[in-house]
Amino acid sequence: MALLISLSGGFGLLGGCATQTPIMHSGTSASQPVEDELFQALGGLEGIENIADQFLYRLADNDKVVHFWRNSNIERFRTQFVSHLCDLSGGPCVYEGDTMEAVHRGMDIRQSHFNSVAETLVLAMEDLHVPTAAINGLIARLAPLHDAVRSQLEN
Amino acid sequence: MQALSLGLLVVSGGRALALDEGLQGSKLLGTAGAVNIEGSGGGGLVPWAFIGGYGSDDEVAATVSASMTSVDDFGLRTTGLLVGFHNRLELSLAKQWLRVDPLALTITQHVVGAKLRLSGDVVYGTMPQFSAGLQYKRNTEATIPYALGADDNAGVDVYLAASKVWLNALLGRNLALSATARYTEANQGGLLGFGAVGERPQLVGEASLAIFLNRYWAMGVEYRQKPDNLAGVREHDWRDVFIGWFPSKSVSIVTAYTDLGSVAGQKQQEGLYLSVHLNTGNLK
Repeated sequence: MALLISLSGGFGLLGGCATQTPIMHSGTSASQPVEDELFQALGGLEGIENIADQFLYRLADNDKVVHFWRNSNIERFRTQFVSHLCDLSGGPCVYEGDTMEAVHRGMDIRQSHFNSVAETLVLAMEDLHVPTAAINGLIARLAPLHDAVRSQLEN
Repeated sequence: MQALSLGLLVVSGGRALALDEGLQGSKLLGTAGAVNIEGSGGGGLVPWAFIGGYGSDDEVAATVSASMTSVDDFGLRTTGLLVGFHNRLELSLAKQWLRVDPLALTITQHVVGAKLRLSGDVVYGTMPQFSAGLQYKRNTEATIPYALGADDNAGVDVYLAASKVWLNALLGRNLALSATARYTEANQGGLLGFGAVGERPQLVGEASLAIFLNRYWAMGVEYRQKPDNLAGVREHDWRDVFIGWFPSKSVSIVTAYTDLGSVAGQKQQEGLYLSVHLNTGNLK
């Protein structure tokens, strides 16, 4: 926890670095029942916020990747991360942070880092007893970000 | 007794290799696959395009494995060591002991393997992972193979494999599919020698399908087509139904019911297969 508090301002592996808060639509969940399914299975916005918090707790102990957040504003990362997960899972949010390419530019992220962060997220969801199908569903929607996140070498 | 010592190996190995998260290889649990009876990363019978071990693209990791298969008239034991380099190259060594009950003797074979990932990735992207590999095999008990009509006591299998894990593919579960084309003249995988008079190496097909029930348990089926070179003793394709348990990245256990068909004139060879894998963390 002390480690988390010491982190401030900058990048995040899955979230963005823009300052917008999640944009909430009204009434979209009723008109998109199928796309909404994963969002509901993750426990809605509250469930996703819990997942984000548990992810950050676990991340603090993940020596392989935690340094990528060394200069991050964790509050801002959390906000963008929740918005992104909510959006990807079909929830009533639109992620308006920077692109994954822009967020990770110059970070030389390897597949081992991507895997390690994905695993930390999976373990966080297991901690919270998220059903296997919902875990797989979310990871399946994050996996396509792999190419954009990896090895963005140019600053 | 063998089962007991395997069990003890698992418990002690699991503890000895219990690693901090930071030292573990970074591949996702289960995506290192298992080790096949020839020592290559794969299922039990079939080499997959997966590079063995939990090492990801900037890591090196090894796997030590042991298996035993007990069918009606034979018992096959194997031990193997493989090292995966940067999720690109896999080098492997294996030794096999085939106990032939009707003759009360044991045939041994050494296998040296290499596998190179050509393109794609098992988990990420839309394309499957393609790998090319070879297995150099040397049978050290050539008397029986020659007596049955085999040409040689050593040979090389060359294969091309394609593997893919589909996340959230079926009822919210992850699915792994692997197909392998192998160019071989090995009789019963080389345990009965290589080739025969008038026979040429052949291209055979192999495939595996696995479904991950959750992160820790997988089940599936495998099929391995085989040549049928020896005139006197029919050789059938191999198949199995398996369950894999991945309690951690340090240890995994695969058990199967396997059907080897006719082996060296003994018909309907069926029985249980058990393998144990101990995985290192990142060695780099």
